[in-house]
Amino acid sequence: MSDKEDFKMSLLEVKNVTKKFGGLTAVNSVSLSVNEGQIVGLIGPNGAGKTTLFNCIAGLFCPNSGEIFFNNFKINGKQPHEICEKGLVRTFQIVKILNKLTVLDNVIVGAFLRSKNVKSAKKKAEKIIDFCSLSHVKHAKGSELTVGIKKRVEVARALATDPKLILFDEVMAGLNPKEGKEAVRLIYKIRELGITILMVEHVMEIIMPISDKIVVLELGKKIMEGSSEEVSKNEKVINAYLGVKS
Amino acid sequence: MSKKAIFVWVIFLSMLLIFPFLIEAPYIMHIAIMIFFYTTLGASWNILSGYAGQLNLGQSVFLGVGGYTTAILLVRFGINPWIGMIAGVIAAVSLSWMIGFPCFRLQGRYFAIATMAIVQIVYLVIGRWQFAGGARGLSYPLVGWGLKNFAFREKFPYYYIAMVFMLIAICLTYYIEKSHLGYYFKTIREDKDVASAMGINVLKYKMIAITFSSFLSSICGTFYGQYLLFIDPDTMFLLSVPIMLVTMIGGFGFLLGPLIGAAVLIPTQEVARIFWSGSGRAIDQLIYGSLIVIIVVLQPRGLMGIYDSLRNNIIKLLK
Amino acid sequence: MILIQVILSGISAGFVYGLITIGLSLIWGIMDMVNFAHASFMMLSMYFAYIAWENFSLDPMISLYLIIIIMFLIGNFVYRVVIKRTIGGEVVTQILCTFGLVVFLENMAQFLWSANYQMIRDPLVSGNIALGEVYLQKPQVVAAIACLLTAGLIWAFIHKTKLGWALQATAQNKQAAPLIGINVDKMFSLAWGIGLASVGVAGVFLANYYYIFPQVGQTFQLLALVSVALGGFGSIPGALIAGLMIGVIEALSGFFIAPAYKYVVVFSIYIFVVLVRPQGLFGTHH
Repeated sequence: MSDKEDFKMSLLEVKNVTKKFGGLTAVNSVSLSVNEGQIVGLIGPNGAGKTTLFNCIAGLFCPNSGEIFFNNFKINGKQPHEICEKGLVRTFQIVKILNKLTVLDNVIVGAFLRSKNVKSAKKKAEKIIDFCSLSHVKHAKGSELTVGIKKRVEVARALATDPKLILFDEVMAGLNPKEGKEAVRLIYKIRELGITILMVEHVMEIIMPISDKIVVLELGKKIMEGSSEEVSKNEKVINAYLGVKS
Repeated sequence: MSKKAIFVWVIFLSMLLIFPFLIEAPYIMHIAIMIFFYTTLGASWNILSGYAGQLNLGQSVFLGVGGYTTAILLVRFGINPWIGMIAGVIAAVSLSWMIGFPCFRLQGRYFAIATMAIVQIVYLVIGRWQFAGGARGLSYPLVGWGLKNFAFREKFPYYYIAMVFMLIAICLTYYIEKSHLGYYFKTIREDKDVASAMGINVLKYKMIAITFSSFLSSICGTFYGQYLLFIDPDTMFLLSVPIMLVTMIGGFGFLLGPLIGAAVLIPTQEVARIFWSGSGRAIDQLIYGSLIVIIVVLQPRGLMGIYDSLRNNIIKLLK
Repeated sequence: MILIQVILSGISAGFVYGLITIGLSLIWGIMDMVNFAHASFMMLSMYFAYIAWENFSLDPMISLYLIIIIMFLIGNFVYRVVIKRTIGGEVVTQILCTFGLVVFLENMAQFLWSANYQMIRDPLVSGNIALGEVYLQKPQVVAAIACLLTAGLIWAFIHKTKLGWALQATAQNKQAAPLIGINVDKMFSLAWGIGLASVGVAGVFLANYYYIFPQVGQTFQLLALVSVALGGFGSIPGALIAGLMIGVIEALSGFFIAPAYKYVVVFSIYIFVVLVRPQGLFGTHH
């Protein structure tokens, strides 16, 4: 299996992606690959370009150069909804759920991607809500929820689209330790479903232990890639974070 | 739908069906017809602006295009108005696509302004187009009476046709509410980035919304022309405000909003006109304007919104 | 020769449009809100001028100063009583609110003063100016100069005074402004005051030569909206230039095509500009 992986294209393949905004190069020729079933962490100090890279992958931005392949489809330049249809879904850094809809309705919206039938979408949504331990707030309106619950609703909604890969954009931010632990448990559960995860995180104690691979960005460039052990000991990485407590 | 709701609708429909046999006064029939008419128009606006959140400040343009297409075909070419109605729908929906395709990627307020500009353009152009009657409009020739000609001497056939149109509008809105369309529209309305992230092709669904919207407005335009047996630019292109008002009073984004709004507003307008407009000072219009502002500021969700909030509060209290 | 006349008359109209645009752009830029009723308030000031002339025999040039103050106060009032409640809500609500104000103001005007077209006869500023073979109407020229001056005053206020600087800060970042001691609510109220006062100036000078009737604001409003789209916003010189362009285009279209179609051209330009270059010709991307 491992020999074959070298020749098989990974699930997500980012090749030399560059994104500039005017004179600022936010992402500078970054390459990374995520294999099916992996949990890959993307870290780096503020301004490293992590969210910009995410937005390029998710289709919000079009890279100035480079290519992105997902499941052997070229997705750079495609629109976000097309990319979602292909099986790559993202959560937002500042949580965006629909405040006027109930939790159930929020998740149903995601479920509609694969089936426009209301009954089956509802059933699927309820299963996922159970899976994410959100049953107790099923009928609460989005505006009534705490940040932690909102984030979980966003995850549930993403799951409802039957993704192959989820992009988690700082899903841990703003969670207290207890919520953080529950979030990690949920992430493992998601991986058990066979879904691949690429996550941006600042909270080191969480992302280091759970990632199969860590990619480190600094000022738009990839400076290191490896296991959490290798990365935590790497001098370049430590320098990048110098002064920043992890 | 719950058994109770079905029961209520059946009773309501029966009452509507019997109504013309009980009341024969043409004036009252006229009010009823206008209620149906504005409900349909309000519903058409509601779908695009209420559910999908794409504020259209020139909804009357679809009414006018539908009406004028039918009128021109009838008056200039002698084509039957029912066929003219289909042609009107094709024209109005085509226009809606021409507007939507480029303009839907605009920010909400720029789209709203564009709709204002478009209705002005069409209004001005038609006002100068002699073939369409220019500013004086067109009088419909008396081809004959009866369903075939979509022209009647009595009011009650118009009543039933308007009622059917209204029911079409309500059923269409109901279908939207209950299907994935409703969810998608509401998502687009609240946050189109979320919509895209959920795999929703935002442009496609906005186009669906404007298609329904222009379709319903267009058949109303045809109806109106056949009802008045006359058409002119002022009649057809200046109704955007009452259309919006009817929906907003009743409830913007609610299924029954336009119906409730029309049922409240039209009779009120008639009463106000009888008692106060003698001086030509248009106090009823003044009330119109005040109402929009008051409603938007105090309860943008209209009467249905008030009802909804009350119901939620009662549910909360009972918990 | 006629062409020059047409262009000049377009330019003088353009200055008036420019001032209206500035007020609109001010409120839009500072509050992130489109005031659809902007020109309807101008209509109000035109009626004030008319009433002062009809009932008190005050020439518009005299009543101007009182009307400016009244319009400023009305701006504050409308903001406090109506507009404030829609802040933070949906954009749809805000748009519908000012849209509703249009209906309200037009119908109130019709109710109070009837739908008849009124005109101020023989105001202080009247007659023609001859520039060689070209004849310009004095009221138009005076209006243009007044609007240009007012635009300059507003520019000076915004860029040279502390309050104006605070307005700019609010426009750039409403969330951060309170952190440096700016009372955002007062800024919004000020924006509405200045916006309406400036459109009041335009209205009073227009009253010298334009018909006064309840719906007079409608065309100006749409022209101003087109103008904001062209001139981007956040730029007073830009708004002025955009207004001038609209004035000239309108005049030329009326001359070369047909008077009735001049608005068709202008509105079509709006659609074109907004699709091709959403940030306008000069503005920054919004």
